[in-house]
Amino acid sequence: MSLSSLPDKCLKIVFQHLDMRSQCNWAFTCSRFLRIYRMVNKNKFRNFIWYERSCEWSKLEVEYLFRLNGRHMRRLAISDAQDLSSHSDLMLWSKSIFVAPVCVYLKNLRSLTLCLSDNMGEIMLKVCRYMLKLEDLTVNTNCEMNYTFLVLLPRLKSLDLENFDVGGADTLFELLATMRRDVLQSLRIGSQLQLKEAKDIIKLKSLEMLSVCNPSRVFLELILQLDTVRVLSISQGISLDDVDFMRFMAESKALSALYVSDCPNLTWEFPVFAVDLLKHEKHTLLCRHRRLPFYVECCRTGITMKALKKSDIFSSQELLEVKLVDKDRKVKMLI
Amino acid sequence: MPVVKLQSSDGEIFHTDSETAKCSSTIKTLLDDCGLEAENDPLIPLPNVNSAILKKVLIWAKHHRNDNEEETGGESARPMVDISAWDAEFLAMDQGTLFELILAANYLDIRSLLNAACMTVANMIKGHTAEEIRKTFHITNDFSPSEEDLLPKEPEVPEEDEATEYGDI
Repeated sequence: MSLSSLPDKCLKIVFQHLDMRSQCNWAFTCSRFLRIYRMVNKNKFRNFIWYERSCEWSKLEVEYLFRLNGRHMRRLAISDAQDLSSHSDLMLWSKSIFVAPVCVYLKNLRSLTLCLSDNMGEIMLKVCRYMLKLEDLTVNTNCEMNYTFLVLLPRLKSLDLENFDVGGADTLFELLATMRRDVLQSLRIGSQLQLKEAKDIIKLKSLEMLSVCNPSRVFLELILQLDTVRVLSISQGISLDDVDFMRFMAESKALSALYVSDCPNLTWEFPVFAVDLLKHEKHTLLCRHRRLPFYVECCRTGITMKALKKSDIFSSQELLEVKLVDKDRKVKMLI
Repeated sequence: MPVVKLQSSDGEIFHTDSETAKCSSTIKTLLDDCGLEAENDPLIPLPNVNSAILKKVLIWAKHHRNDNEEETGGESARPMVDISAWDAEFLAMDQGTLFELILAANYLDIRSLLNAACMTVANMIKGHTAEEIRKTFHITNDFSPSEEDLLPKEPEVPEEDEATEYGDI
């Protein structure tokens, strides 16, 4: 009597009692167990967040996992954060060392999130080489990175980069502006961009959502030319004031939502202006490009609850919705 | 309490109370639905279970006969639940017997026993490499040396309809 003589039903129960890593090792012992692995895990890895601590995995085991399941994956998130928080006193391997070799198995991936600290250059090269169906990419790393190769991803609709090196060597936006200006719909850059990048970004004619950090007044004026933008998010808007936002809103006819944080010079005058503008637009049917109510979310701006209560925008909820939040996005006030 | 007689594959007859016997869903169905319980001293032949294993199954059933079905697993296997100390000691047996017990639990449809025994096997697998697992369970590696079998055999996943792409997320 051996393990192999048990019926599939019993083996499946054994299987369900195993952790992810042991399941893989078991699957690689013989073809029958591999078949059972495939049967049980058919759709399990479609959306996969790899949060298990990597220190217990060997490189071969990681390769097994992705070799078995990679092509079924559509969304994948890999982060070292869990490792770092759970064992802060121990030196752990970063998952970075595992990722580059398994990219070849991830050809069907649509969405990828990477929060890793090392080896990102090699990983990005593999991503651009193999993941040609990728539509959505988020990268958060401290590595100095050159993202130029991302232009090779033909379907990239949404891009979120925490740090973008503006030193000049990265020609990603220049190339996107010349080669793929109709694809990108959503862009977030977590670090400050220069005017050079802005001049390229305004050529991306499908961009509907833009999130930038600490833009200058000139930068904002430049991106006004993007008449497709519906959602604009500005973090650290320290050099901007009410007039800048008023102008942007008046000229950007499709804009329907505005997220602003750390902008001390944005005051209650902006929402008051916004209501007047929207009323006027409604009257003259100019607001047909916007989605109403126009949404404004503010975090650490000059707009205070007291000032808002004094203003008369309460009666205009069908036109404007204002939300004041704290840094954890907890709502302080909503009108 | 009504007595039920169970006959093992090698002909030995075991007397047990019906409550213990009904830990097995298979026997419960026979007694309740097929009206065997109404008969005097019903005899149930179990041609797939030998006397050594049936003895062990009855020890298990007697210990667990008052368990609440919902507490002991109910419908499906619940992974990653610890085995009780009594169960662990009971299931500390050689591999061959353990597998026969799994087969019997499967045939008699005793879910809690099936679950606990399968978990015991899982614990023997956990934390070992593929090669170590092969050695422990005497599994023959039937993959070709090039390991081609390990790669997906099916053709590349066909381009799916975009509308249904994220449907089952």
